[in-house]
Amino acid sequence: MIAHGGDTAAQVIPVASGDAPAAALEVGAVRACGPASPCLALASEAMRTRFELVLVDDGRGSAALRAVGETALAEIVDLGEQLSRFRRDGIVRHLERTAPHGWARVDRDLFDLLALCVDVWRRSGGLFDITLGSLMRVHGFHGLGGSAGTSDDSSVVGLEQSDSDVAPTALASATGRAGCEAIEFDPLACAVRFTRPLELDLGGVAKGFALDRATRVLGEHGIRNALLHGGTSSIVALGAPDDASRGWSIAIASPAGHRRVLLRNAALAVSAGHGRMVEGQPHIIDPRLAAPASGAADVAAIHLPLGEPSTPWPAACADAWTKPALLEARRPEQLPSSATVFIVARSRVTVDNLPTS
Amino acid sequence: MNRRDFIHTSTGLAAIALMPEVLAAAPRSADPIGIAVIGAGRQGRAIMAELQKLTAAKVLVLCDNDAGRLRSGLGRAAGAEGVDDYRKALERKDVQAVVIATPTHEHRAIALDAMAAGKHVYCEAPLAHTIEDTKAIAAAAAKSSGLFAAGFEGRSNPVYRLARTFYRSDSVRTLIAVRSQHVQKTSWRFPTSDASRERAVNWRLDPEVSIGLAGELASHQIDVIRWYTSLDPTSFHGFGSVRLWEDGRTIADTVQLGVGLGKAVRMQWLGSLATSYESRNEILHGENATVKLAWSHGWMFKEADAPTQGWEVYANKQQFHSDEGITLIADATKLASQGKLKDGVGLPNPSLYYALEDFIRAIVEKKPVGCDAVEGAKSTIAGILANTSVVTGEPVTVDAATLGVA
Repeated sequence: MIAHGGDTAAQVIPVASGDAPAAALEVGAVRACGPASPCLALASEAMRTRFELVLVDDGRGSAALRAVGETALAEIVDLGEQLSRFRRDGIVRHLERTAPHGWARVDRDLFDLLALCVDVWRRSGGLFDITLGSLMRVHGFHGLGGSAGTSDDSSVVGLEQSDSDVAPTALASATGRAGCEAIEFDPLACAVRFTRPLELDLGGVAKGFALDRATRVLGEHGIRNALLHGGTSSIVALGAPDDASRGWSIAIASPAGHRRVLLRNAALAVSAGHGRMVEGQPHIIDPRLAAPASGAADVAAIHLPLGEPSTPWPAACADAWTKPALLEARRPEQLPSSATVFIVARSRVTVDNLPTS
Repeated sequence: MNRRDFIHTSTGLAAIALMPEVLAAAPRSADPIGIAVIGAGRQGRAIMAELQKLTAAKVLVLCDNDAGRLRSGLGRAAGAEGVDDYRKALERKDVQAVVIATPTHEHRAIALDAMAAGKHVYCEAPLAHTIEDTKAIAAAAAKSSGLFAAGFEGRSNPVYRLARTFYRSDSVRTLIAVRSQHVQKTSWRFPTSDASRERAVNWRLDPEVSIGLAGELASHQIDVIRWYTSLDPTSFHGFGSVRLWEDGRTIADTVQLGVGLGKAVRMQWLGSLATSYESRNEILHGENATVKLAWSHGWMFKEADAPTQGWEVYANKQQFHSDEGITLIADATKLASQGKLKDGVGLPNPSLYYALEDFIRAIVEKKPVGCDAVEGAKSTIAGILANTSVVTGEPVTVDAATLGVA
């Protein structure tokens, strides 16, 4: 067990091989709640993912607690619609249409998110890149149609073209539409523009960002103990499920077995090379190869404490940095110092580049 | 592209070109219209997000009497002034237009003061919670030097406009029946850390001021149907109950409503906070075709014995169990010319954007607003009467005098 001390440290606890949760990230929170610590669980679908909030009742009652939870969930759902590149009416597609032609105004939060993404891109040497939408498309990651809110679009007929093969010309064209250096910012006007057409894909940070926004809502309404997660790869833990616990217990699955992490006032993001596959290929694009890659690690997880001024969007930040960590199987050099990195590579487990027992 | 594809494409393009193009270019103005947004709740923030996209508009002031909401809302409008009293916004000479997104029962005072100050007004719908307030707003709008737009977005929605051209052009023919619903599983309760503000924040659940699901939600869909059919409601018979949210509320969380339209057609409406299945839609069953509208999407389902028009062969189609629907794409001609027709399912912007765009265009280019005060008032009154029927459980007969405005 590696312990860093402090209220928000990640404590990695080896789990016996027989105790193996099926999901990549098991949420142990619900089991921790009981009659002595009543909780309210709410869920909603957004970004093709199930988001769940577990709120510990602090005495305000279920109706009032639900009101807060629904407001937080609404934030997630609204963001899901805005940030999805599969929504024609979302902000991503709006920026793609307008930002190459001039300054496009955005709200402060989105401005900060885009700035964070470009910052991580720069610090990671380009290993994290939100402009890989074109490469993801030509490699078949996005599929046909995919407009959220409609049924399967596979029966579409009519004037359609197919450009899903990865011919050299298609790849060259897609590569030409990538690169965060093309994003420019005007902080005073809260606007962005692209120096050339780009195809954005915010899938690498959207869940974390949604959890950050939901966490803000919970904080504004005085919620101190809660667990939020998006799918099983992004999680925020506030406080603990009850007075007897030091935090929320989370298990991380990997080919090397499962590790349990205790979270308190922290964000945790997990990326796994063994996870979702697309037509037999790994689901992560390696910008250096302009192609799908498993990465050097099996699992990369990043823990970031909440409340650090240098990381105002900790869940989004953790989300973003898992990709460079996964691709290189090591703690990225420019990762914020408050972060803890958990890597599983070839059955060897390291925390911050140090082997665990 | 080979020769066969070229012929197929060019013939299809010619056919698609017969479909009306309903997406107009956004309005432009050398001097953006100065806007004050009154109300920074969820709808107010959504309004701010869409106004950001309109270069002919600039949000100068945001008003809310809740400091937290105001702070959150100001993050969506760089440089805007935050005020806690709407009158401060009206005092600014550079504010030419006001968007009202407060609780429904607060619309009247703000709208009347804004119009008296010579401002153009976009008022969220329903316009008011009483017939008296609604008629007062409409009367003031008739005398105002500024424009007035009611926030019944359907009339500005490009998919709805496109579908209406088919409806009005005999593609549907005789209207058989109408079904619509607006459901979403949510408690409709909002949080507040200040107990003294509980009633103000949760006005939707306050029987003193709330017009319930029928007033707040059905009014929008009644407006769409009125616009399509030119039929006004003649009767309402509603039934409401609390099916899920038994938290002491008296406002029904599930409402079923029968609306008489004209002499022989009826609309059935379901509103619920206890289920989310199929969200929001309006379905007009016709002799030749059925039109289904779902806010950002629309489809037309032809009867087997209905005449076929040439462009339909090239149209996007979508399968729903045993029914095949022609997807109604607002910018089909442009997309088809780019070979991106299949990418055009859904709208490029949320429906709210188009309602605000119409409002700004009306100011800049002197075009009509999407929904004016007279039509907005009629649909609001219809919603209020529908709610009356739900609350009393008794049928309500509507005459033209009750629905009409001076």
